[in-house]
Amino acid sequence: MATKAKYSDSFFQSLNKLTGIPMSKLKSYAKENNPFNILEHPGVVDPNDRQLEKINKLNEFIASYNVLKLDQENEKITFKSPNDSGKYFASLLGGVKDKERFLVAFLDNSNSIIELRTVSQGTTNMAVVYPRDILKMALANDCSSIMLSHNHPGGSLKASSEDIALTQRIVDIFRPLDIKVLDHIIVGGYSFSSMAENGVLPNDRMDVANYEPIKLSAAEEEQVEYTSVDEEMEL
Amino acid sequence: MTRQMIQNVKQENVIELMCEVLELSESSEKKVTKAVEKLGIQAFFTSIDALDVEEVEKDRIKALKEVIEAKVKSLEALEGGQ
Repeated sequence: MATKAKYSDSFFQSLNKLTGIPMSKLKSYAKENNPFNILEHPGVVDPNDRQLEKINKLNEFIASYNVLKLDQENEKITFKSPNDSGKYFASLLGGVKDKERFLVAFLDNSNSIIELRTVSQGTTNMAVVYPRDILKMALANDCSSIMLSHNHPGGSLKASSEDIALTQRIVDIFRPLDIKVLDHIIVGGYSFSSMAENGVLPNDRMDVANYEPIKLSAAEEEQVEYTSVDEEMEL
Repeated sequence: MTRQMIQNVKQENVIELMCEVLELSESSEKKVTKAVEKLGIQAFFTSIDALDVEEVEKDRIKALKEVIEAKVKSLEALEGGQ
């Protein structure tokens, strides 16, 4: 079976990264064969001992992963409430004190995560968010809605005026595309607050979309409502 | 052994193999283990970008994701009667 058109360079780079088999060997074999034969019959690329060990390990992993995946098939992460999304983001951003990170989850029409991306990683008091990047990722994921989250390294859970303005601009950009901004979760320490739950999520106003980079500084104020996430996340 | 316990054993096995394939540092292994335990294996692979590990390790995890996805597509193509 010819596989030339089916596998991209990045796929071969990935296989090379994981097994150490040179790209030239991988590509040459894949010209006329299914490259996954390499995992099942490593001899076809004449691997050295180290590469053979890596291939066997990768094979073993893929087999175990597939079994586990079947078991966990229905365990997609779905956001049904601000508590679900808050716990999810707090598990990723909780305790991050050295830098401000801005995450965006791209969701399908049942509010399950298609993909989560870090769109900005700044210093302790500032991160720059490029709406154009978020837009590109949203279109690539063909999402129905998005969920924003960032951490306040200082621990405050209150949405600053800059947080609200930033959210407004993202809402304005996505509204014409019928992509809803469901919530903006702020994580401080190991706790979180939901802008939607606190009634500060802008959704009704329609400004002219502005694609300039957004500087988000952590002008943290007194904290308002918060929820503890010390317990294990159950989604 | 309950179903949940069996699943936990399977998950531990997958995490262990994954860490060996990826050759992660000790601290990254801990972070990856914690993330898989909290999120489940599938959601873990959709949240790679948010992991607090070295970029080079993140790249290897993304490479693993790409190989897994390509493998699934390859099997689907075969099952589709190609």
